[in-house]
Amino acid sequence: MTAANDVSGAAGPQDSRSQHAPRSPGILPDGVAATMRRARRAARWQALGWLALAVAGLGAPWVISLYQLHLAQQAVVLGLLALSIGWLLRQTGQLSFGHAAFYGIAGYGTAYVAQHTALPIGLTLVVGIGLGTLAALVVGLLTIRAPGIAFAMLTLAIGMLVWVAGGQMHSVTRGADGLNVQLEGTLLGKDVMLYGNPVEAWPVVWGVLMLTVAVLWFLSRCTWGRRLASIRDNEERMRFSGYATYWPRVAAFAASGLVASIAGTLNLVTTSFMSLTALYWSTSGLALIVAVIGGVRSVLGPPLGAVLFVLLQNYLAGSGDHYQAVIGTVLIAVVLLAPGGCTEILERVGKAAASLLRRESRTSDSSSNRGGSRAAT
Amino acid sequence: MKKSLRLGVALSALTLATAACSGGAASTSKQDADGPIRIAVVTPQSGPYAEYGEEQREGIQFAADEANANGGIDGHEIELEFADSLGTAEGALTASQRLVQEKNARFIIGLVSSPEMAAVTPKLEAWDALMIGTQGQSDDLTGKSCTPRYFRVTANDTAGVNTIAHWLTEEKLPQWDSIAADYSFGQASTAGIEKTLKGEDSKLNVKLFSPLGTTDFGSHLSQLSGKGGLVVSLAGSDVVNFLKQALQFGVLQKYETVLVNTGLSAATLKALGDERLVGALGTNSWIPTADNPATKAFVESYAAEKGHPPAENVGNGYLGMQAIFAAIEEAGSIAPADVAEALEGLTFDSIQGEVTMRAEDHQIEAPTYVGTVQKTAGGGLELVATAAIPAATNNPSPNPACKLD
Repeated sequence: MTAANDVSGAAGPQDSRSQHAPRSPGILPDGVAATMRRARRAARWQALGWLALAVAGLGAPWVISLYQLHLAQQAVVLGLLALSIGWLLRQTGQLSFGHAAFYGIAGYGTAYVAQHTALPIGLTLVVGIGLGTLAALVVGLLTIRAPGIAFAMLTLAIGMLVWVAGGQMHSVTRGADGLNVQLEGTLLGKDVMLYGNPVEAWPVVWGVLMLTVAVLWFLSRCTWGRRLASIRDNEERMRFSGYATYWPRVAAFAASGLVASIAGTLNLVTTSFMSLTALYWSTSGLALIVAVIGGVRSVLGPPLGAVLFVLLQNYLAGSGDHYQAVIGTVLIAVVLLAPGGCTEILERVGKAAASLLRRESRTSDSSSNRGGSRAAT
Repeated sequence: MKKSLRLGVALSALTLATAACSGGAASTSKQDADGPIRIAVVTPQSGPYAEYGEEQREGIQFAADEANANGGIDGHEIELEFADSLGTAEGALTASQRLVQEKNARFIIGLVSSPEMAAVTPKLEAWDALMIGTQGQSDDLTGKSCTPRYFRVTANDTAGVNTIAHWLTEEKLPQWDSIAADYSFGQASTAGIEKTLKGEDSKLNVKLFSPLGTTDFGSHLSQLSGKGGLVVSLAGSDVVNFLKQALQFGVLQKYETVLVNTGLSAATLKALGDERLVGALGTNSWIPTADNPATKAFVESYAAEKGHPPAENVGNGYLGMQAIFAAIEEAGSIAPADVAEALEGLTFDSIQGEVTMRAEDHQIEAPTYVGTVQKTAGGGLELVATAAIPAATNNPSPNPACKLD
């Protein structure tokens, strides 16, 4: 959880410039050097927190029940999709409503390749993910220049086009009936059908999530990520400074589409089922809601939001007819009270605890000092 | 740095330690052979088929209450666990899995649409569960996607088409129009109509499809010719919306005959309540007005208890429960594997009289019904059964695509 508290150190043009500055501390002003030291220390802690979480997560099948593990798996898939949208939002400031298209294309693509070609399963999955990513690249090329609301509306429109097309292409998607897929072959030393069992699938599912989190975290911190953040904050100034502003964002959109595609293919492998809902805008909307609940400023925020959402949905599902209204109300409350999502709440709690501790130690220090001085007088 | 490393290792060790002494997913759970029969009632509580879901729940609840009042089934009490399928395939899958794995309710019943069922049936064997289909008609479920743990007690699409064929051949109209839901039910219906009419010196003129959950049929209505007959293969709120708008636009009145495939249920007629529908033709897997002593007995006992006759899907849900009960009594066990084996080829007494669960594809062999809409004494509308299509006619042979072994 520690890594959740911040990866946000990455953002801002100032940061990006400090990245280019020489690293030798002697040349830098003291303040900057200290900030960088702190940032490096924080990064080390985050990496360790990530490692602990990754290892601890692998133990889940021994702790939680089969159904809970199934929910966890659902949360991971939703979390990956939310992560793709959340990361794009954070790095480029652009809100995509069309990621369900890449998620769905990857899923249906994988299914189609599995049914119509004799490719080994590993390659099948790669091709499926590739198809989703390719779609994202094309959409990115066309839409990335559109500002703000226009971008959101364009991606929404393209997403709905894909949904309608999916409904028409009965031979590929089987329309509203849904598509049951029998994958065949050996994936990572196991018969791929075994991944329908959450216990067998969990190490892979969890591994994919943690790896994606790590890669996106790294991408946010590297030069490219910082440049993206700078473009987000002031595109004109970046152009003026001689940086390309189009291609980095297209690449970011494609990378985010890749993550959505991984989620789509992972969903297919674990459920062996695809339905048109996967392509519908509400899938993108749900992922966005989840990302916002979790907080997009951290790469662990969206998966955290997905876990919370799936838990909430499951907890309320048995409690009566109108639980969807309850979920809606809870969402509104979360968004109103903590616009930065759950990671913001965690951050606030952490800061409050830290300052409380500091104050306590200070008061005890000063009281002992006072005692000391009194003794001296 | 070292401290945090130690912390991480300690955390992981702690997880693994708790794992060792608790019953996680990796350990297997056992089943209680003497306990109650837990039934997972998974129905849509929202979406176009929510009304059908409500009817299914009523029928299932009625069957359970009745069985419990009579001392249970084979000495076991019936316990119902409820969940909402949300009307979607994903929702059905999650809800079913929750009831099977969290509540240990391994007899699934109540799903309405075929896509919902199709998402669940491939998982049944892995979950060691059994499912009774009480409404969805897709041929695939008892055809190429059949599984040893899925049984259907209502008509499939083929049977549905052979049932509307009764009206198509009897009406002798030169041409028909068709509007159908854009999924297996509507597509199979449309294909069946086309085929039937070819042999009848008639033709299918306009052929329309609407996505499930359509609320505005304006663009469809403007494409209908208004000549000859109209076959409507829609269900749930879709058929209510369509008929309401078709009456408003004056399109429905232009047709000599309106025939509705399965959609004219009591709930639909109540929602419409329009006298202009009197004389419309309908078909269904089971109709409460069917001329059958077993049906009459059920309708009477239900009406005595509830004060109103059962709707079509109340009966379908009840029939599904009768199948489970009969198989449990036959098997003398409540293990889903034993019950599934007993149900295969079983002939049992039901609200349709004596029916048989066909062993080859797990499709019930039972009559289907045709009827016309008439005014009841109370001023409402009712689909009154005029004939029963025997099992030998509506669905004569098992689907060869189904391979259960």
